[in-house]
Amino acid sequence: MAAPFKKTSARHLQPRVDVKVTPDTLYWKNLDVPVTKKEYGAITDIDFCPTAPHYFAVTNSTRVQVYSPTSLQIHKTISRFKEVAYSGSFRSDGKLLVAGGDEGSVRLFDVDSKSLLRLFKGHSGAIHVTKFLTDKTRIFSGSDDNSVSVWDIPSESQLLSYREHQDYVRCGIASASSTDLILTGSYDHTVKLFDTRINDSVMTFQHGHPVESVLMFPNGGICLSAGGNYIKVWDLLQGGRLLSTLCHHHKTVTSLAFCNNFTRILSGSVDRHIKIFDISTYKVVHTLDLPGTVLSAAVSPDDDILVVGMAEGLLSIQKRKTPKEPTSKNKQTSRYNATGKTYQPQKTDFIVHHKRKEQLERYDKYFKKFEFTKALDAAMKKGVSMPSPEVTVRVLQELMKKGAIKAALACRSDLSVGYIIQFIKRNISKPSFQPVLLDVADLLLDLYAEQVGQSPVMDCQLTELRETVEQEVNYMTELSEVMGMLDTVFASAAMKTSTPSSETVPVMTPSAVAQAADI
Amino acid sequence: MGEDNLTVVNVSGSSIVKYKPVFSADSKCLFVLSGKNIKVYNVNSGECMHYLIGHYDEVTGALVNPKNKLQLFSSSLDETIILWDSADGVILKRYSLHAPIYGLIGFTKDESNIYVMVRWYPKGVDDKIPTQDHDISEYDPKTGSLTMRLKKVLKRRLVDVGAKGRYLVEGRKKKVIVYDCKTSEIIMHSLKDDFDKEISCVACHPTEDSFVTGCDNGKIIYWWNFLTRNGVVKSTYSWHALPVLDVHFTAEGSQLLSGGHECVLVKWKYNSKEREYLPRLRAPIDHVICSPDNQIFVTCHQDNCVNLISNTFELLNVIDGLSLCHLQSQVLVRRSVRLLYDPRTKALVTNGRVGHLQFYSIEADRQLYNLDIVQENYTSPEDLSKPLYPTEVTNAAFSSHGDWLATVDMWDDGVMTPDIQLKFWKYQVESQEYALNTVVHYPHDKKVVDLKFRPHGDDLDVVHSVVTSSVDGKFKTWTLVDDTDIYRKNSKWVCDSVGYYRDRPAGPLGFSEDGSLLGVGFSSTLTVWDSDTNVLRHCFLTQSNSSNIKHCEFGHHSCCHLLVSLSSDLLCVWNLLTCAVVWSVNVEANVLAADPLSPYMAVVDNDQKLYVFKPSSPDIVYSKPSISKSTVSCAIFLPQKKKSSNKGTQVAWQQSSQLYFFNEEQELLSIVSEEEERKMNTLDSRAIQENLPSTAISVFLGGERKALEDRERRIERSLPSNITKQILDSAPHAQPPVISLCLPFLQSLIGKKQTKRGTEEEDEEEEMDEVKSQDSDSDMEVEQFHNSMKSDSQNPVQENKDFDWLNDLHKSQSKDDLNPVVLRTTDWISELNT
Repeated sequence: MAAPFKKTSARHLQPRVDVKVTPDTLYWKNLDVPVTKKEYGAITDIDFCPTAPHYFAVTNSTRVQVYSPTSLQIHKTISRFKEVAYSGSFRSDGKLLVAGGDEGSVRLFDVDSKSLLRLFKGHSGAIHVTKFLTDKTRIFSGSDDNSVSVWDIPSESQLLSYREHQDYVRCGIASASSTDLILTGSYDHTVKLFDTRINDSVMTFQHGHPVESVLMFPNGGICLSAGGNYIKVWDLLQGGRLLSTLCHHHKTVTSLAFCNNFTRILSGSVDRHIKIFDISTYKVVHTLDLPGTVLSAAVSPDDDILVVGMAEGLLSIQKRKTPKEPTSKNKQTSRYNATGKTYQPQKTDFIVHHKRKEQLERYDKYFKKFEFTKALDAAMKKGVSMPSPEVTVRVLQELMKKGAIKAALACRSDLSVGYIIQFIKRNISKPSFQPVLLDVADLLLDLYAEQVGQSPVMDCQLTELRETVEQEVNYMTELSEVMGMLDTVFASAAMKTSTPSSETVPVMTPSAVAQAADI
Repeated sequence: MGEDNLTVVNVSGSSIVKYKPVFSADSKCLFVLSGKNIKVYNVNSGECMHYLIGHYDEVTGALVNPKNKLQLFSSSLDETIILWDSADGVILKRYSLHAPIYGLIGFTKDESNIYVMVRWYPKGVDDKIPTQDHDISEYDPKTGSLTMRLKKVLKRRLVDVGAKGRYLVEGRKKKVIVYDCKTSEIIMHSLKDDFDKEISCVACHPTEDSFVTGCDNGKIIYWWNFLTRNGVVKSTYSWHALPVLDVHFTAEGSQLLSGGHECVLVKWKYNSKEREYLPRLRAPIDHVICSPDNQIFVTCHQDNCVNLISNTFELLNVIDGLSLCHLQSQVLVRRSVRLLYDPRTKALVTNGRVGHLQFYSIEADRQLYNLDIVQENYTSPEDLSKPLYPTEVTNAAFSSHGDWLATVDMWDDGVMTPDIQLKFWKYQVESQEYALNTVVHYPHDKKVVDLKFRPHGDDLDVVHSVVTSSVDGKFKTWTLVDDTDIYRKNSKWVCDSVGYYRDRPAGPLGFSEDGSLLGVGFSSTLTVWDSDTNVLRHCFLTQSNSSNIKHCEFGHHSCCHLLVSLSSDLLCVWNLLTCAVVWSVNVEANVLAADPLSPYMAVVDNDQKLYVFKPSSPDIVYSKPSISKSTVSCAIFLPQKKKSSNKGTQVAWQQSSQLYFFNEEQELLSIVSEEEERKMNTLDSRAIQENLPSTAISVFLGGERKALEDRERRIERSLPSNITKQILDSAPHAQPPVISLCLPFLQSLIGKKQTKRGTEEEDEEEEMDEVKSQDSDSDMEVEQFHNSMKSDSQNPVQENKDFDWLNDLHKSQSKDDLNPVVLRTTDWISELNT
């Protein structure tokens, strides 16, 4: 070929430029249809087992349910609670599970046998947070009696009790890099960092809202707190400097979690959204919509499952789609013939290479053959015109440029004209398509003017098209009216700044005589 | 300045496709007829090896001598036929025919006489008669006699000589005229069918008694048995939809090549329907030839390009000059694209192929590359009388360092809604090409008139911005913004602001030298805007009834406070400081060009008279009438390439830049002095050297000569700025009194040519000694300095070294900073001289 055939490109006609397909959107779009379960009470906590099969514990009402990640069914149920349980969480080896509850005691279970191993008593209020410390032998708990306690598992005794928070302690996390650091958030608007070697807190952050969730990076350098509509990022190494404030939710943020191997943060909120942030820029990379108020959310360590718990007792489990194995459709019917493949060309041979044909879209193939009507047919097919109308518009434009649009549109059956009219009707409101589609509509009316009134189907479609156009015209008129109003406002605003301040003009006050007369 | 030793020359080279090229007998060289010269190309490399120079007028035809395969006959309008030794480029013989020759057809059967196409009228008269009525005559080189064979032949492609000179065939409208050389009989056959159209080209079979005619309706007709009056046999094949422009048999005659407006090369099996295609060649095919060894086909295209194609239809090489527009619509578009200068490749940029921008190097007289802007397939129209409207590049602009290119392409057939796209291209340093960055669909509602980058001098941190103006009454500023997100680094262009003035169509744009002011013409009003804040600063109103402003240019350098506007009947210069007209003159002109490196501007009026002026005064610096036969469509000042070498021959206004202009006949012209012209016409020996295969001795000699040249060049270059550099290098408090500096400085400006290499080298040695002594003691320096003051008047050459110590003192200053300063001073001095 002297010059390769240039394919019809419709890149510039993409209707919305601002919506980009990023790797993240693709990643999160790749989740399967959610499996939804209805539980009795609000799902307050979800914790993934850090070890291999990654069972996850879902805490709701008076029980902790352990789900299997493969079947997405309940694997075990721990229901030895008299009142509502909270914060069922695994130890790092996945063998033990600890949970708090409204009854004010911390319970430690063996996951396999579901047996209660230890019962820690000492809090006077409901316990909303219980977590293992990294050394595996201690547990810390935060309670509604404003205290944070550290318990020793072997001796079943309380080691420490911090009474520094002024309000309910509702969230906390143990540092993964240190065996002694605990970060707790409280309804007194503060986040405190405790060192179990000292009897006082070592750091206090003012979050400004009741803290609902805290999160700490595994290296222990940066932590996040969520409360109110805000997520705040703190740098622990710089003495608790506020790094960033994220305000992307419009209702209280209830949960924070890591995903994608600690490169993304996931936040769930009462506004029924889950947002995913990039950890380097703290920009939202994706948003998920949920059917209910999100109370807890977690992603399995291998990023395979997203579990969201909602206040209405709904549990949504989404598994990542397994990449489809390319299945060979038709089995090989003939044996592969290797004749000629083994031939080694000699130096004196004149080699003519086999020309490999470039893959072209169907409409491009017809364009190449100058079969314009067929090209239009191919572009109007549902497989093209529905998902990517810009391609169809581009093909129409290309036909115009080749001077073949009239020929391509003429002499069509009612049905195929109907498809074109429907396409125009669907897409005429998109600004970037408008010029082309209006031209095509005009041409269609010119070409098929005689047939109006003969075919009821076409009449009906043309009427619909007229309605759509009328609506669009009205819409545009309204928009231009608004534009005009805004222009006036802007112009007057500009005038004010340029003219000297008019407030200095003295205002006349009624004189004494006038006042008297008024009365 | 008044004396006129300047002439207009065609710098683009001549068309290389006007006449059929010819293969050498061994198929290794291709002789391309280009103007007065024949260019010899190597078929394998596609490089021009050398020129055959000797004709005084256009070369019209060439044929390899059948008796000696190394010799070549060539004919020209200068009434001569020259016999060349094609390998050495030596003229062996010059035959004079006393009539302009329009082509060589072939040889007679005994290979001694040549059939030539001549015109039997005195040259002066027939200039007015359109090209018609050539005669085919038999020329005998030995006796010099011309014998008429066929009369009133229209075109070269309608005649061919067949089967080793046994007969001549001519196509004339719907008839075929055969001249039998044996019997000297003329036999006429005609296409009887009413559907048949006129014959457009003729080709004879190399061995058999048959020939082929291509017709205007795209049919190809084979003829046999035509030497008898009645028994003629025809067969017709059709594939072409448009007129066939050329047909040609391969060397053995087993295949037929045809080409036409479809841009498709068709290879037919002899007298058979079987055919192969090579589609999507870049432009309509004018000529097709085949090499004697059947390996290579050559197609000549209307856009001034020659393609070498292998017989398996692979593109081997492309020989192209300045791409010409083969569509009328493109020629009109050039007025808005104008001529551009790419600062990176130092190439001239304009539109060429459909939807492309071509980068053309004037120095090398070759196209560097074509940039596909539109990215659409070119299709030929179904009917030549109803041309299609291809999408065309209507505007383009380069940023000041060439790292961005902005283009506007538009499709408008006058019926449908036009399609307009604004594209921004970023230069990729790694891949060395422009890559598409941003596409803006419908940047304006109507035709975009002008597109300009905002210049920003030497400041690199300034945000890039582009301004477009349109007939829809708005001008828009586009700025480069950061579009980086966590996935990739990117930048894109967005519309920053929109400006309009009284609902008038926006016209030409102009930026002041530092980019702080933007001038926009709104019909007859010229508005000046602050380009940072986009606030209207001032309006300049010309007379109320005057026509639209076509050009708007800010002055440069010493005239940077002046703004020049050109409407179709008025040239007006405004002072931006006083906001008043400095001067105006009534001139009917369409073209205005400003030199970015000097204050000069050029205007070409409708009578094709060139005026060069400075905006500061209404005096004409230079004028030259009728610089072009057809209308000049655009002009540009390009920076001079060789600054030092030809300073003496350059006039003041062309010292920094040279004026190039384009006319409607698509010739790129320039104004040079007569000496320059002579230089251009002489053979460039270097080019030959580069392209000839190198032998051992040539490598050896070449290396030696190069070394010599290098040395000469280096010395020459270091010389002129020596004293200036010293003055500028040193801090003002450390400088000797101005009186002592003045004389050497002035002398250094005058005495450049007088200094010899020998003395220069001596000086260098002396300097070395001095530097050594200076190191030891600083008191010594002062003494030497005093000495030098005394010797000022005696020896101008020695001055250079005496200030060298200053140089050493301030070595820390970088040379890069200095260069612009030096340039500016010389410029200032040249102004003083004028």
